[in-house]
Amino acid sequence: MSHKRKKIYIFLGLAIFALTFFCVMIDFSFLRIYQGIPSMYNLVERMLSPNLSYTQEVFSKLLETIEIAVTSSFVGVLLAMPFALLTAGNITPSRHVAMILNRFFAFLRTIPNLIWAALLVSVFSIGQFSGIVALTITGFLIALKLFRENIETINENLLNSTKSVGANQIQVLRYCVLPTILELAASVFFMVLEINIRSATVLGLVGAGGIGQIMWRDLNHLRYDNLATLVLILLLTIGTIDALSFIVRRYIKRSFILHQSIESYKRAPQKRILQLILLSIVLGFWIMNAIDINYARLIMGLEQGYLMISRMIRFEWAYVPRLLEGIRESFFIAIFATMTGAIGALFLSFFTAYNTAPLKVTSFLTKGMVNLLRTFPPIVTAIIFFRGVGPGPLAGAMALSIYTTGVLTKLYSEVIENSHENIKNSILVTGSTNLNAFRYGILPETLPAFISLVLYRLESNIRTSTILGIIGAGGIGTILSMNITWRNWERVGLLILGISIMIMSIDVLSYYLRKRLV
Amino acid sequence: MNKKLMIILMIVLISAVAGCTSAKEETIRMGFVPMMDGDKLIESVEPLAEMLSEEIGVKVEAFTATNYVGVVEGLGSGQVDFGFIPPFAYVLANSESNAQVVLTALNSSGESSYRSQFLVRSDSDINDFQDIHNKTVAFVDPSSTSGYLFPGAHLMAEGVELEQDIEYIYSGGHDKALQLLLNGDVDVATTFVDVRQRYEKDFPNAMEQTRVLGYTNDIPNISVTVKGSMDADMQEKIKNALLTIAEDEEGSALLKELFNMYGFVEATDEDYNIIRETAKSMNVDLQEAN
Repeated sequence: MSHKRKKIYIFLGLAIFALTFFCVMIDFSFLRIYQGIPSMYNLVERMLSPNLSYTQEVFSKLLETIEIAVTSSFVGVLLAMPFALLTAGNITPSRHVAMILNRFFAFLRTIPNLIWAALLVSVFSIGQFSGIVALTITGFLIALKLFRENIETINENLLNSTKSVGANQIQVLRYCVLPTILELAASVFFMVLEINIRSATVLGLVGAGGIGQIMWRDLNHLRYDNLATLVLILLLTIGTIDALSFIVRRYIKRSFILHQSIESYKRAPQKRILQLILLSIVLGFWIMNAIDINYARLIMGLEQGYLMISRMIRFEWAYVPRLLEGIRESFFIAIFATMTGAIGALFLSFFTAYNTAPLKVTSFLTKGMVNLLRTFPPIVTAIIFFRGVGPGPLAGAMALSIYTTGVLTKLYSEVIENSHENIKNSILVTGSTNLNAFRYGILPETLPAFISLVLYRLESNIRTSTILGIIGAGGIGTILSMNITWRNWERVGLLILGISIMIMSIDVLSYYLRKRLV
Repeated sequence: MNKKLMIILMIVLISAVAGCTSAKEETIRMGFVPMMDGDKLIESVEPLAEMLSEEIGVKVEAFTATNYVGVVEGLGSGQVDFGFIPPFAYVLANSESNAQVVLTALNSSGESSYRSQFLVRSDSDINDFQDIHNKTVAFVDPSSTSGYLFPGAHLMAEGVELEQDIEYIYSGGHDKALQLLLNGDVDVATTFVDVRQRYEKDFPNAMEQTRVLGYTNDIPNISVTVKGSMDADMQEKIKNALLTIAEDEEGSALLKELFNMYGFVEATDEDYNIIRETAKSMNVDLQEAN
């Protein structure tokens, strides 16, 4: 016991030290937050009276956003499947190709949404098309990561035993990998859809239409009553997607025992293919409908995009000092937010997951609260904190902490809910409390999953923290958005490179950390 | 579980200590929100902050933001003492928290205002505002004074109803509005004067390929706005400090070089009524903002 104990204490000590260090780096101060509470409350109060007469306008914009998000999520997830096969370490045809592709996609994943949209709007003009492309790219990258990680967890024995009976590469894919991917596809689709709908609020910053556009307008006109309506409707939408995802996943799970006779089992593949074709046709039409651009215009846009990118890769090295200055702050904001978010999520998840919560009501209530936390766009929360604590990284860090707590709690409580009941029960039968069952049963079991969720959040937090800079809440966002406005592509290129290098080095670091810990 | 409690307690203690030790001497916080239609890319306001610190005798901490909402809210809560903010942001700050404008910056032609323009392609059949009916117009974004409010109000004064008579989109930037026009995606673009020169490198043929259809009313330049709760004494100090710096040889060179400001002129709230009227005609309800 003592050795293990020691290790834990050392780890905790280090964590506390790190947290304190980051607190200092972002000028954390309870006093400042405490003193800012009245003025923050004042702003929240103005949001407490949503303007309901505004609902109609929001709905029409929301439909636009949903159309963009559904189209892009579908295309993104579909595209991700073949690439996942190509890049997953255990089934890739060539390890070198997989490595190069993985690096490349990891690099693309580090580029903030806002940048994609800003670039694409420049290239393809305004309207739905550039929004769709931007979200397709981000959706594709997220889906790819999820698929790949899941394929890599397919048991090596399963693959080997299939190979040993003489199956060729295609057959291995068909019988080992495809079932995993298809089973996963629905939940990945809904996850990407949710992320895309929320990202669409950011796209409004660059004129890409949809709900983001009116949100940005209301924010800029200080119409907090309208903003509240918007957040409320967004909350409902995300809740609906959650429910839909739940229903669809259940339906898919059930469909495995549909066959009662061998004939129906044999017929099923044909039926399924037919269904798939029909579904593709319908969706294909919908996508064609959503994309409104002609060929000549596309070529012209691509040429302009090519010019832009070729300027971007001519990095302006003289700008490195500014880059480092900004990136340092973004880095601290993101790390702080991830750490506090992780601590918050660990506690909240216990109350949120229905199988660990002391009462069903607590679970229900905290679930609602958590949904609210993660629906509030971080930029709005940042403005609230900015009002309370003033300029500097603290406002951004607090806003991001809250958002991270929400997202991590949601993801982790789902992990807890999916954990095997007998883990918990085996401890409960010894007469221990619910809390101890969590502490000694569920927590050790799900810790690896939790850590990888935290690391995933760290990556996205760095990306999100680049947006917060635009209101003066610290970080690299200020100079990034200014240089985009000024079309200084050589500098934008360098800034993106800097962000990417930072995220990738954190990735490498966390990989080793995870290996040591788990 | 005791352990966890301990950890939290420790964090609380440590950060409380860290928070208390960082209590600083009196400082003034200045926010700088460059106008998107300004002539200079303003990244660092440090040099200006240093000069102001010397002039006022109190340390001035400065920061930049690309969007004004945070600064307006900061002025409202007193977290930000004064700021260089766009005219529309001033009007919002004034109606929200009684923030006061003290100065307006002068531009390179020595004026305290600028205009925005309507651009069409050179070969376009649009020759006056009546021809805009049923055409597509690119505005910049709904919060842009020179890229939406003033051009929009101008069109309405010319008898063009935005919702019925034209198709319009928000491009997200003055440069993008120009790009959309050049690419043929829209028929009219509204931008500041003169977007074609600022982005000459990106759109070298813009001057030949487009022509100006007309100009809007005068728009006040960037404002120096102090928070509503500031005492008159400090207001005077800040105002005089900036005026002195603009007179000073070294100071004026720096203002021109870094911020493209050619001096300041005293401003009053009435100077900004034009923004209020324009906003009102565009159905932007500022009173509701409270």
